[in-house]
Amino acid sequence: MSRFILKRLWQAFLAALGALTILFFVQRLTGDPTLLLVPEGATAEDIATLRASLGFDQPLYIQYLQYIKGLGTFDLGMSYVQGVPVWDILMSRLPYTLWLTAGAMLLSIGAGLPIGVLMALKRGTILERLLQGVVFTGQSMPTFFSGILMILLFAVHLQWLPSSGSDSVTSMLMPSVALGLLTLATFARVARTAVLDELGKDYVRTARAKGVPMKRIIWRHLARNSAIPVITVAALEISHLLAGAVIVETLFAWPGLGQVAVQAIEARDFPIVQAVVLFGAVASVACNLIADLLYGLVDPRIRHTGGAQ
Amino acid sequence: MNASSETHTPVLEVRGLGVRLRDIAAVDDIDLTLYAGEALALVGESGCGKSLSSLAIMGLLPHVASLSEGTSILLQGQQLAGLDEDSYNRLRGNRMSMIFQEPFTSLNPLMPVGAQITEVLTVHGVPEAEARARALDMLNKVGIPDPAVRFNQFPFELSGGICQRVMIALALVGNPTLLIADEPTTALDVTIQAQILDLMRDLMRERDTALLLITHDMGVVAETADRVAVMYAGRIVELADARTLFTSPRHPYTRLLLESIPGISTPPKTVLRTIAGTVPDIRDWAEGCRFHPRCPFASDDCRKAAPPLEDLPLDGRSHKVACRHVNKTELL
Ligand SMILES: Nc1ncnc2c1ncn2[C@@H]1O[C@H](COP(=O)(O)OP(=O)(O)O)[C@@H](O)[C@H]1O
Ligand SMILES: [Mg+2]
Repeated sequence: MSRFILKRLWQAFLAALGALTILFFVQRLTGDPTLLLVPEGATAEDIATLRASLGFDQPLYIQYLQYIKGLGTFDLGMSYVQGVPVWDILMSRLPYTLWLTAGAMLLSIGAGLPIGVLMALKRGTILERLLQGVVFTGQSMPTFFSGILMILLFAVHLQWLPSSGSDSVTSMLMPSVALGLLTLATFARVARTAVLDELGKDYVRTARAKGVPMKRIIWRHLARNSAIPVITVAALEISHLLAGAVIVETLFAWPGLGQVAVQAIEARDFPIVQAVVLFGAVASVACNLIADLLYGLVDPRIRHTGGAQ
Repeated sequence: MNASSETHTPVLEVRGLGVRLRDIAAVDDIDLTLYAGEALALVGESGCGKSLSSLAIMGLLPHVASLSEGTSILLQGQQLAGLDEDSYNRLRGNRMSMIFQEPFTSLNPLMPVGAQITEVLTVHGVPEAEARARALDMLNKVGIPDPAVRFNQFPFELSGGICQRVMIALALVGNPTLLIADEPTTALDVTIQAQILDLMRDLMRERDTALLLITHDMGVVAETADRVAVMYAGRIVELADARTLFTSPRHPYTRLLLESIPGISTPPKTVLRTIAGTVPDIRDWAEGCRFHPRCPFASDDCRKAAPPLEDLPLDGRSHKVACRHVNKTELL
């Protein structure tokens, strides 16, 4: 098991390094950001000084090596624009994104799984059709679209919820729903398929032949057996939620990492963009590792063979 | 069969059992009676409707199938046809239980086998500690070595034979009056098959449980059954005690089945040897006697109407058969 985890970590390390390397060079292909940073009316000399202080006068590979060396000592660099350590910016914004993602995840699991299970159990009934409608809607609406619809309805028209900001729990409600809707639909679909698959299996018939009531069959037998695909999807979906946060945070003026990333891209504040991408890579690696550990907890066969297939 | 048991209430009394798959009758008006301590084999080739019959009795029919009207299934006098799920759950695992063909997939892969046996008792109200003790005792009774170790193991850690022993333990731990075993040895190695059959036989005798044994294998019938019901295409075509059936089979289909086992001496069998084929799909079941397309004696009558299952006792023993040409069969 631990060898398996080490292998996974190594693969993740290479993937993250690859992503950062590509990002590093592509960003610099877009040109030299010094001109954006100098005040209006700066002299050529001023510009040259600033460029030298930011290191842009160095050859590209030197800049790259210095960046990697910095990473090795957990130094993410300084923001070009704000002149403060990127680490501080990241840490001040991270909680907002975590709250938002957690809210969306809670909603999509809390509602998506029961919806999927119900759809499987009530196959062919009107209830299934109704839920199918909910799932289809969630699945077919892009985040920005459902977000705008919600703002129009709940903030502008009904005036129940604030359209932006981060000062109360109610202001978190709409962004979480907007962010989680797509994931909710995904969870519902996966849960439905998993439960339907399991319902047809022999061990369910055995449980019924033992006189186990359906409710208990679902909780004691089905839940665990259908957990593997749900865990897989959950790990994937966290990455999707983090990506979706970029849109939702912009839409609802939510001061999280996504908003920071968009602003940094516009301002060509490279170190911040790089740091956010690095965070995304680390988060997705962590999620996958946790998923692998959970597989082992759920399924003794995986525990024994030492890894998921 | 024990003659005195005839006077008691049967454990299972099935009258006019029919199972419909959508609008086709897959099981057609079958009667079965089973007494305590008795093993009745329901035998026939694959696709005859044996599994559907047994699932119907257990109340476990798949969604696409339903009981025909007029079906009566009495378990110790209690009507099961039309019973709701909760009432069925009180009986299953408790007064009736079932063993399936695939021991490996029939167990929950993610639950230790001991817990799966224990659950039979706890869902019927036995306290956890007592249930565990009885489950462990049952593992011991089905001849599993190191039962205390096996108790906490998962199915994937056990062989097919051990898994089937676990299934037997699971089916018998609640002390049911009726056990249905659907092809319990078909998926096992030949060497293990006899052990499992012996084990089942011994446990049934010890507990006076009634066994409905479903199989396509006449060899298994010979080893286990007191009485035999031969099924073809959804109907029972012959019903007799095992010895009678093996020594003087009357239905051409029964003879065909018997020829498939080596070492059973039947009179010259050149004619039947040539009867080829398998059970057709239920949509293609013939009018009249459903066996007639494969039968060397088929006449116009056979094609028109199904022969009734008639009792033609032999030496005072009941011997039911549904064939117009019984006398010709005996001449073979
Ligand atoms: N769930 C099902 N859906 C459709 N057809 C089925 C189903 N179960 C059984 N059948 C059909 O009913 C007939 C009898 O099946 P079964 O009772 O399993 O036969 P046996 O156990 O004697 O082999 C077969 O033709 C089979 O194809
Ligand atoms: Mg079968």
